[in-house]
Amino acid sequence: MIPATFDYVRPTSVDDACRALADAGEDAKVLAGGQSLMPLLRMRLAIPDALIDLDRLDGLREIRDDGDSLVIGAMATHHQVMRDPLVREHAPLLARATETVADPAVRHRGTFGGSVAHADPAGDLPAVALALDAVLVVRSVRGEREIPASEFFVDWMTTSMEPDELLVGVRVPKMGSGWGVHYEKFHRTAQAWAIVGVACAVRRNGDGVEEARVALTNMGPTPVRAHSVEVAVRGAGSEDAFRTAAAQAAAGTEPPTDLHGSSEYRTHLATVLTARALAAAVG
Amino acid sequence: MTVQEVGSPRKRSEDARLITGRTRWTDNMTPAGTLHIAFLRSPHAHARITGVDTAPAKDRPGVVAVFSGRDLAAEQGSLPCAWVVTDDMKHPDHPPMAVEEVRYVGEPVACVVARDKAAAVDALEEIDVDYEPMSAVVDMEAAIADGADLVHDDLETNKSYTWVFENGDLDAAMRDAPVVLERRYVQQRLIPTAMEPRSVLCVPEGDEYTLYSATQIPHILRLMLATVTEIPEHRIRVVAPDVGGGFGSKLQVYGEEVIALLLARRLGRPVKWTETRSEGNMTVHHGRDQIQRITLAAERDGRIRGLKVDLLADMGAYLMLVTPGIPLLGAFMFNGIYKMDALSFTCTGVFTTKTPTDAYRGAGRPEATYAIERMMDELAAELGLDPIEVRRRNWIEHEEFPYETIAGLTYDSGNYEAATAKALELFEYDKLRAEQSDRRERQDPVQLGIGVSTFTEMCGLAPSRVLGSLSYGAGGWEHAAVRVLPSGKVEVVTGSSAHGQGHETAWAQITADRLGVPFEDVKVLHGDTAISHKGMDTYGSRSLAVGGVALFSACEKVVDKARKVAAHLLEAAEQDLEFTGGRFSVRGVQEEGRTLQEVALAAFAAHDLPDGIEPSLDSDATFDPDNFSFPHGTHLCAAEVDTETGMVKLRKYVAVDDVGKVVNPLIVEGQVHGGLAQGIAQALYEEAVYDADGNLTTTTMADYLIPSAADLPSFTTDRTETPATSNPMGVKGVGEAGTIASTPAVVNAIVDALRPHGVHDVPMPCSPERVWRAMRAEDKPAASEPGAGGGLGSAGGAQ
Amino acid sequence: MELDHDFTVPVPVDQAWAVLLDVERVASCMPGATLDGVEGEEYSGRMKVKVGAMTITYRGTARIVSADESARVVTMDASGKEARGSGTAAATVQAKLHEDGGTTRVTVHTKLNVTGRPAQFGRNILSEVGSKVIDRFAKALAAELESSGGPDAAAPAADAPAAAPESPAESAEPEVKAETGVASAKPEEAADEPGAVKAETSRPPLRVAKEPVAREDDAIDLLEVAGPSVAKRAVPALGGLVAMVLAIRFLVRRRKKR
Repeated sequence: MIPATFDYVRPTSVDDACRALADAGEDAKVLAGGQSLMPLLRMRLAIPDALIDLDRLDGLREIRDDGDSLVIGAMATHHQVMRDPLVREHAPLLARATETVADPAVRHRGTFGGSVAHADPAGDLPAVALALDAVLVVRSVRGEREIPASEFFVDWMTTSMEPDELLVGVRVPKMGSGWGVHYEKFHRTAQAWAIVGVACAVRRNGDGVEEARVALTNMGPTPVRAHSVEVAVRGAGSEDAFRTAAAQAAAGTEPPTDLHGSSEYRTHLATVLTARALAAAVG
Repeated sequence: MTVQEVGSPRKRSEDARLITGRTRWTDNMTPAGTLHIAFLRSPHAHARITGVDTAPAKDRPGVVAVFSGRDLAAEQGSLPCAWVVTDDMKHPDHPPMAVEEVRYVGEPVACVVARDKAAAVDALEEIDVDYEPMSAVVDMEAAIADGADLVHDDLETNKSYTWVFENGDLDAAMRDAPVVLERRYVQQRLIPTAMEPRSVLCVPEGDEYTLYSATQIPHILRLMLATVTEIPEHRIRVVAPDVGGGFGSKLQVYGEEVIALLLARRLGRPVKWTETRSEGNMTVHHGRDQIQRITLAAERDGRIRGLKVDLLADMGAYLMLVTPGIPLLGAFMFNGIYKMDALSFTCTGVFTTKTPTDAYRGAGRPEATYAIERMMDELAAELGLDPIEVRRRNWIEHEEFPYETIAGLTYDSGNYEAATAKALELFEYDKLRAEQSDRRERQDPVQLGIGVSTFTEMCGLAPSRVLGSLSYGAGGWEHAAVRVLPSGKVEVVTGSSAHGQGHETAWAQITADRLGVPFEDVKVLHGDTAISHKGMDTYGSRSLAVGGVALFSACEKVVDKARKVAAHLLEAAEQDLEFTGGRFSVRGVQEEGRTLQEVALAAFAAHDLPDGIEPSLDSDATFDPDNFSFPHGTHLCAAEVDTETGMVKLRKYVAVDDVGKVVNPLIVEGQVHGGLAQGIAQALYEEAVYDADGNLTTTTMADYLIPSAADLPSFTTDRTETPATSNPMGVKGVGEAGTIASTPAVVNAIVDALRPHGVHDVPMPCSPERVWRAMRAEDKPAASEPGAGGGLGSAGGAQ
Repeated sequence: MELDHDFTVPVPVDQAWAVLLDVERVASCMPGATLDGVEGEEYSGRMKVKVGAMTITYRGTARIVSADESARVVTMDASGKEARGSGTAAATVQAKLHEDGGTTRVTVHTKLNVTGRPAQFGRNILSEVGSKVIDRFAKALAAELESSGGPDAAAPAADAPAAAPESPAESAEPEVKAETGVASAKPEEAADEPGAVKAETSRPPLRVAKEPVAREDDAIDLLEVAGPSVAKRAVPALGGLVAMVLAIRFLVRRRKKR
């Protein structure tokens, strides 16, 4: 398994990286840890003209407090994210979900930014970004812009980034107090992709749920936000109520049929797992 | 003082180098001037090759040569099948590289030889092959229907053979039987996934060739390469250096090995090829893939009257080394440990446009054990008996050994009662049954099931006479040699070559004990036809039960010879000498004596040897067993089944195995653990899946699921020890036991958990969706049969 | 894999039929396709399929294998090989026209057979990609048929093949393209910039950028205001198929009269 030849660029600044990306044209790929891209390269399913390796952009590994939000550098590794005190305090759902990503070897090389930019609907973190209303910070030689997660994932492994744009960071709004979180991942073996995953955060008020964020992994060509559940679960306080709210989890989704599960089965799983995720998040 | 080596849980001395990889894996070796081969493989399941243009590839930088199948047609021969199971078996030609037609995805069509691997792989893109697609033949049952598309037009059928074995009067057994159960089980296709991929390096020297290969069978491979290529056997040396696992997949003569030899001859330079994982998933021979139709007749008290077995076995596109014989190895095992009056076994081998099948850990016996152990649970459920009780009413009792089974084998020894009793205790069977009832009563969404598997297997392949009677192409003996060097150090040569089993440790332990030398003084040599000149290699849990016994015997011969020399040196009569702790002394006179090392030096110097004794202290022995060995055991599995999602979680797994005498308990435990993982994997995870067009969709480990430690429970293993009587060491073999026993234990547990839902089968692998669907199918009233007394229907929840 | 599509176009059957027999026009509806030449009845070309990080380019041929005017059924075969791999793709597309009160209902049945690497995964790249390609093809075909007779029938792009017969040089005019960095890009081609492709989906139109980015804005504007030629041709073709980020590049080199 040897990749086809490509030009290899390893910039040492974000500006250089953007320039390299702009120069390389449409058939360039960005290497940000490589835990998804390397297999595609080796299988020659990806045959880029140029590979721009962000490994030297240490500045993009930073996770910083930015007032109401955290800014997680695109090159922060999964391992770094799940251990980071800021993330654990202000975005515990992200820390939890990241702990379930693949295996330790992958978590040490793979990056949050890489995972989000790859936009694999079976990946765990796109759904988390969606649930947390994260904002993706992208930069190119033309400037910087911010894209809300709700507008970032546009189709199967496809984002609204331009070919010359680089994801440099992810702005994650801090979750105030009173939130409970859970990532319910359903998979057959430890390092397998989720057949279905549910990212869930709920804020309780007395006995009931006041506010909920629910997003689903692998229930369609993109991660999907289960808005109907978020509405239906308001005020719910019992497992039965969670089940009732979760019954709508698959509404409007187009789950795939593949070797690991049919569309029909995923539809069923989404409801069961969403109920469980809500209950676990409420705690 | 020497410690007792045999029986001691010594850590394996080979592991440091194997685990770190700082060793002679074939792909680690690159002699100067080595050229690299890359194969172009068919993307089609079935197609006629109408043209191959290799010219553009030849122009690529670094490329030395490019060959299509046609270019090598005159010399590549046909890959061998050494097991012609019936006189009229259909046996198609199998060119190492396809010439006219491709019949499975991944079949080699052309190859590039280049100065480096990347150049070879790049040049593959430039080879242009024109195919005329033909119909894929994917489904076995459809393949044998009238008017089916043919895999091999010239054979005019997709049936390779039908093989029958019958004993007892089955009609009488079935007639008026109070209970008749019919079931259909599918043994899914599996991909043996050895840690080390296949790799071959061929180094030419004049008209002689040294072929290094990640193979289980250096000796058989040499003979077969000579036969296929007509290069004389004595001009070929085959080396199996350290080999990282095989599970049967490297018990094969692969086209890539033949091509490497031919290219080394053509080009006069070393050539090497190492497969990628996804290449391997497509082209390493696959395992299992049977459809089993089982009919069991029994009395109402649970005693079995007779068993009818009707198999379809998927051969894939071609017959490889022992392809047709694999399902037949199970023929004698469908009766398991049970007594019955009649057995009928029919197997039809079927060609499909899929990767050829062949030996995979257990080879025939897991399939048989699965069927009978599933049936025993079905019988118990049918009669409302505990599954242990049904088995107890049928199994051979320990005082009945030796026992001739309905399949015509003589089980020499065993104690099923003891193994079962121990397993039940370790498992806390009654406590778990109580929890099961409790969960059922509470209608807990997570149900608990208990699966039983009381298995035996035939190991120690094999008595040569028996193999002859089954038309197998070779014998089943094994060879060992012992050389005591002048310094007293010992070299052991074994014809059984390890590919992960730990021979270097176990063989040294046996030798150390027999010769009374320190463990560290023993070096085990194997896997090189120039060093080990004869051998039948490693498969079928045969190493210890055949090769180990040959070593035992060779050690005895050394001691016998040393005794003669020592007697001469001590001026005593042989019969007056005793040999303890590596030292000969006159009985009752401990002070005077000669160590084996001293004797060895004397034998080397040969200054003063008794008449008729040849210099040097060494020996050769072969052992050809007169019977198989029959390890057995009782495995119990507790599974939690989430009825809302179908997810299965193994809660507890107890394996009590009886493998006879044990040389190294740590190695035995390791074999059982690995075997369990592999058997559980068949039950829950692994399946090679082809789509309707014959594409293999499980070419990567993202789709072909191999469980890791994170997915498995902590196993409880223990042993009983009933020595085999068929060999002087009392050993039986353990390489396949865990795999054979565990698959039915797991599926029985899942089905047991779901019986209240009307489920009486879940097809393997029992993925969460399949479990969920089985429940749904049975929850619908229309789908389950109205309580027919004779049986619960045949198809179960199978989708 | 078999796929079925069904759509209705506001043109009479006869008019739709004429379009269906025109390989070039039909091929132009195939996303990512480039027609390179024609030999007898056989058209040769390339098709680039791009999904996320994956790109597969096929080279192959297409021809009409049967056209039953009385039954209004036309069957076209297309097959290709990966330009950089050993895999193949073959499709048999059967389109049937049904008279429906002055309009035409079209049913398209596609048998798609893909071999090689893209077919060798459990996560079904084929169904993710194949069905979308065909889906998009069907939509583009609908647009093509519609443009042949609707009020915008005189759209220059739709007419380009007809207006530029037998002249390879002249007809080497990109009608629809999306590949960046092509020097000859004409202004209206920008409508096919990937940004615009993504901007138009089967979901509610998506505003890609909150902050204006020059090129982005242009692309969106162009999509919204571009003349009927581009809109007719590109928008339906791209709608519903964002996954493909597809480069549609259709260079008409020659036109063969049927």
